[in-house]
This record gives sequence, structure tokens and C-alpha cells, in this order.
Amino acid sequence: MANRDTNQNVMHFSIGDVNVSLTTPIRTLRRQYSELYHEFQVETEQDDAVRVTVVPSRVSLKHRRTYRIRVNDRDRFAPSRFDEVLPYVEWGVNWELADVQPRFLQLHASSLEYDGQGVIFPAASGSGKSTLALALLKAGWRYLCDEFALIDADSLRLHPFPRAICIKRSGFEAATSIGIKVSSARHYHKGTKGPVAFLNPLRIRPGFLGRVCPVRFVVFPKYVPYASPTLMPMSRAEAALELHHVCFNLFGCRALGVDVLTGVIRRAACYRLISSDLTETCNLLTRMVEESKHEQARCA
Amino acid sequence: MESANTKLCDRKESPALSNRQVRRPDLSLYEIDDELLIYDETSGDTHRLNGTARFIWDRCDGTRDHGAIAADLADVYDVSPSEAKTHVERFMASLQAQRLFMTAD
Repeated sequence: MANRDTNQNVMHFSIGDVNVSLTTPIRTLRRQYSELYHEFQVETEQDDAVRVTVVPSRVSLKHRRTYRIRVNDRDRFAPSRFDEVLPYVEWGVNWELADVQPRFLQLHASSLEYDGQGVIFPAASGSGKSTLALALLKAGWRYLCDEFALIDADSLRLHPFPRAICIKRSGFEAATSIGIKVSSARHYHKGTKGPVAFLNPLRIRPGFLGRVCPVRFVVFPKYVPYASPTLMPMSRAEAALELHHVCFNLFGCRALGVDVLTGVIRRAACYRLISSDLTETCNLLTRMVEESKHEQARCA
Repeated sequence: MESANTKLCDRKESPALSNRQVRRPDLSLYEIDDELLIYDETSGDTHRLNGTARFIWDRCDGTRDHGAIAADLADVYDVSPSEAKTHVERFMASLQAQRLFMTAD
């Protein structure tokens, strides 16, 4: 652990199992980041922190302003719009995760915990993972992450990375339908994905951060408007094959990624989910976990 | 143990389909319930075999030709010998295309 940093431009955060240090002279950016991660701020930099530096370029008649974003001493992005900077900072942290945390197998999935049972929702970008995570958090589930399932390669347990929940414009209406005022949140611009809002999970439901837990369910969501929310069991081998395709670091993980995946899947129940109305979908998922808990208790 | 006179398929040309396939020994196999997941570290690909496919795969040890495997399949599953033979031939071709076999001389 480094010495306490007295540089006013530097802020350190321990966001679950992921550490981030942000250095920037841009006060507005520090304030924006702090709004999202205030509860995770720490005084000292951790050894395995992802170090992000954001520096504005000088403006001249010939050159528009850009914001140079370096992540762990490598130039990563140079957006020209200020409302793109925070999304790129988030992206930069995601990008470096595999390097700084090789103990985790990283899946492209949202992850939550309910009553000590971990549930992962693997899906491609734009499939509603974050919106579903937001709704489940609102419904009383504990939040782990909206973008990753971080699975410890040794224990096969799910770890928290409670990053700010990123809701794209297509999810604003759904979020509003469950009483979350996305319109009052600050909006950013995320490359080709357009306007996004970042929501601090602890402001949605204070205290509802997920804990390290076993993966009990793997649920592949698909949003189908106006459909009746449905869970369909799928074979574990089929689920393992699909997880293989959403793994970010199958070869970068310190264990053989497929060993970890199959280890996880053998202990989990696997489903496909047709999601639609968020409240009904959350009720269905809550029943799934509670019924399993009752079943375990009966067997015990 | 694999036969000593086996060799890896030529990876540049599509190999002719042999009548006695042998599983590649370097593949990682994971039993999950009654299915099998095959991980090919060379290509980075993963393959899933359901119960019937696994039944056939388990018999690809170089000692049985397609006819013998089809006969086993027809004995255990409710399929006619001709259906079993068609099924085995198609499955073998698909695994061969995925480069999961060695060829037995």
C-alpha cells in the first residue's frame, strides 16, 4: 500500500474487489466521479489499482480541445467532448481489469446476489443486462456488477465490483417505469451507444451491495417486448458453451478458463429468460431463487 | 491408449473421411451431467455433445468402424439400423470437419 496521497488531483477508490486511482486536474470530472463512487473512496492507492489519468489538451486556433486518457501508463482514448470523458474512464477501467486481476475469470454478465445465492446474467451489449440489474436492485436484490461476473478461479465464488450502473437511452423508459428518475441523473455520451446515464447503486438502494457468494444460477436473458416473462431450463453443457463465448479472459486468467467455467456450471442451475415487464420479471426471478432455497432446505 | 500408428489429420487439406475414427488425445473433456464438453486448446474452440453424440464419441477409439458403431446405436436407442448408420455418418463428418479426430491407418 502506498503512502497517503496529498495531491489534490488524485482520488483513490476501492470499488468492491477493484481498485481505481483517478488523477486529473479537471475538478468537474473529479466531482462527477466522486458522485458515483463517493462511498468507495479511500485515502491510499492500492498496489493493484487501475491508474487512470485524464489531462485536457491545450486549445489553439488549429487544435480543438481533446481529453487525453491514460490507463496504467498507456494512452487509451482522446475524446473531444467532455461528456464522453467519464464513459471512457469507465471503459478504461474495464479494459485493464484482466491485467490487474488475473485471479478472476471475467464474464460479460451482470451479477447479483439474493439471500447469499449468486446469480449471473450473461448477455451481449444492449440486451438489457444493466436495466435488469437496476430493477433487481430496486426489488431488494444485492448488487455485484452490471457488466461483469468476476469469478475467483480458486474458490469459484462470485466477487463484487459495484460499478455505477450504466443505463442507455433505450432503457430510460423502463427505469422510469420502476420509479427511478433517470431524467434527473447526469447524462453522458458513450461513443456509438449514444446518451447514457450512470447511477450510483447505493443511491438506488442504500446498503444493498452484494457479498462474495457462490454462483447458484446462470440465467441468459432476452428482452422481448410485451411477452410474458418466462424461465426455461437449459442444459448445463449448453450454458457452459455459451459462457465460453462471453468470457473476456479465457486465456488471461491464472487457471484454465474452461476448468473454471465448468466448475461453476456444475454447481448452478441454468435457464433462459424471456424478460419483459420489469416488475413481473423481477418477481419471477425472486421466486426462482426462493423456491430453490426452500428445496435445498427440504432436502437438508 | 491410442494406437501407435495414428497420426494427426492434415490441417491444411480437408482429410478424406476414414471409416475408423480415433479421438484426438490432446483435447480436454468435461463431463457435465449426461453431456460432454470438448475443449480444443489448439483452436480455442469448445464443442458440446449431447447424450447420443457422446455415445458415438465414446466409441471412436479406432477399434470400431462406422457400421459397428451404428449397430451399437441401433441396439441402445430406438432407431432402425439404416437411420443409425445415417446418423453416425453425419456426426462423424461433422466432427471430422471440426478436426477432432486423428485418422487410423
